[in-house]
Amino acid sequence: MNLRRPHHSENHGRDRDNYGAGARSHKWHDAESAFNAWRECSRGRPCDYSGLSYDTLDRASGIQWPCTADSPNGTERLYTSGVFNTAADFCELYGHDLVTGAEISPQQYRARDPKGRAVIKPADYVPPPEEPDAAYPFWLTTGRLVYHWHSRTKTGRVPALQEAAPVAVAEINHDDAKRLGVGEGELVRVRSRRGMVEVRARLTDIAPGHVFIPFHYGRARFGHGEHPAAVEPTAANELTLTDWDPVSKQPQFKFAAVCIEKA
Amino acid sequence: MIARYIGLLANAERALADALSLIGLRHAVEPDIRRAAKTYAAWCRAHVDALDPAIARYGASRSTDGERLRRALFRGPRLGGFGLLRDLHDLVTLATAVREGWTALHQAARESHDHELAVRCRTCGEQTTRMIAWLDAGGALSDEAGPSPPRCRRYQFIARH
Repeated sequence: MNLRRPHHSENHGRDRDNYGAGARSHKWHDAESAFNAWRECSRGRPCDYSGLSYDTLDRASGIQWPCTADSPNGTERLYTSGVFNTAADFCELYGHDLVTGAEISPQQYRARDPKGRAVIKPADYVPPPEEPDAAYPFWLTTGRLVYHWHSRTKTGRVPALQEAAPVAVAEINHDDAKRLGVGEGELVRVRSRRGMVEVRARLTDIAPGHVFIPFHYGRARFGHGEHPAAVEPTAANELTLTDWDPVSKQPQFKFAAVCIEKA
Repeated sequence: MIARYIGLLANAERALADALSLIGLRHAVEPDIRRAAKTYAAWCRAHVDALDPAIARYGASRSTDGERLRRALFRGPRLGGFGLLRDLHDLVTLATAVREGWTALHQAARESHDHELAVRCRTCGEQTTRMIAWLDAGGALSDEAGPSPPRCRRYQFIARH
């Protein structure tokens, strides 16, 4: 087992001071001793698994923390006492301002120490960075099909899955399609302020004014076609915004304003 | 004193809104700067509107302090990562001046037993504090070994460019 180890011998196996003195003198040389060192780091912390042994890891699966001497089989249900891990001296994170993304400082947190009570954070409504208008009247949302996973690197090579969903589609509401003069399976061009795709229309009961395009299909089409690397404009994320949630950094791939026309 | 601080605050909040709008455009290539600048500029404009009832009651002296401060700041080339760092630095200065205005007006409102104005001052001042917390890179100077060491994201700009 290859473990990244500090170069200076006095630092061997030392962890951060706030993880307890036990971890500081612990040394590791293989997987089990590394596990033991890390287990000591958890002792007394919210995710305490000091009651877990290296052998138990192999014997059982799904042991839920905390696993301690008092609860050697783990803990199925957390916070049954109504006390949460929020006390300033015990918590692992102070959290963020949900709107700005700024971290809550230790001083700010201590000033309103929840001391075990749950924290419910309010945030003002923030409108999406882009909403449908006259030029881009549809809401685009992107996501997965049941047949594929992400960019199809594996599912695209499974004939049954690839044949079930071989090409990129745009789900459009029946009534919207009628207004656009688009029939089932016809090629449509979907444009946003950032880019465009050309995909087949699939008429469904999706909410009027909405269009769904799976993000599985990049620019290159591969698999069973005659031109395994032919470049096609089918990448849904050509349409989406370059923006993300200030705290979680989750990208804004779920909504954008687009227009649809027959290709 | 109240009328003077109301005028000072209105001018400083407008100057801060203008500066934020400029910086959002200038560094639009950074999506989080663009979004944050837009959000905070809207906050500042709402703060100016929040002064309306106080202006109706106390009046507002003409002030150019915020505007003069804005013109003294944000000078010279401000492109790329280092330019952004300098712009954020100047925003902290201007936003801090705004917050001090709210603090002073809050105290004056309390002494005048104007509860409604005091609440407004506190609400606006707290929002300005949240903006400064973001601008301030979360107190990146602190060496304190806390459970959540602040990320020095601001200094990535220097490293990257």
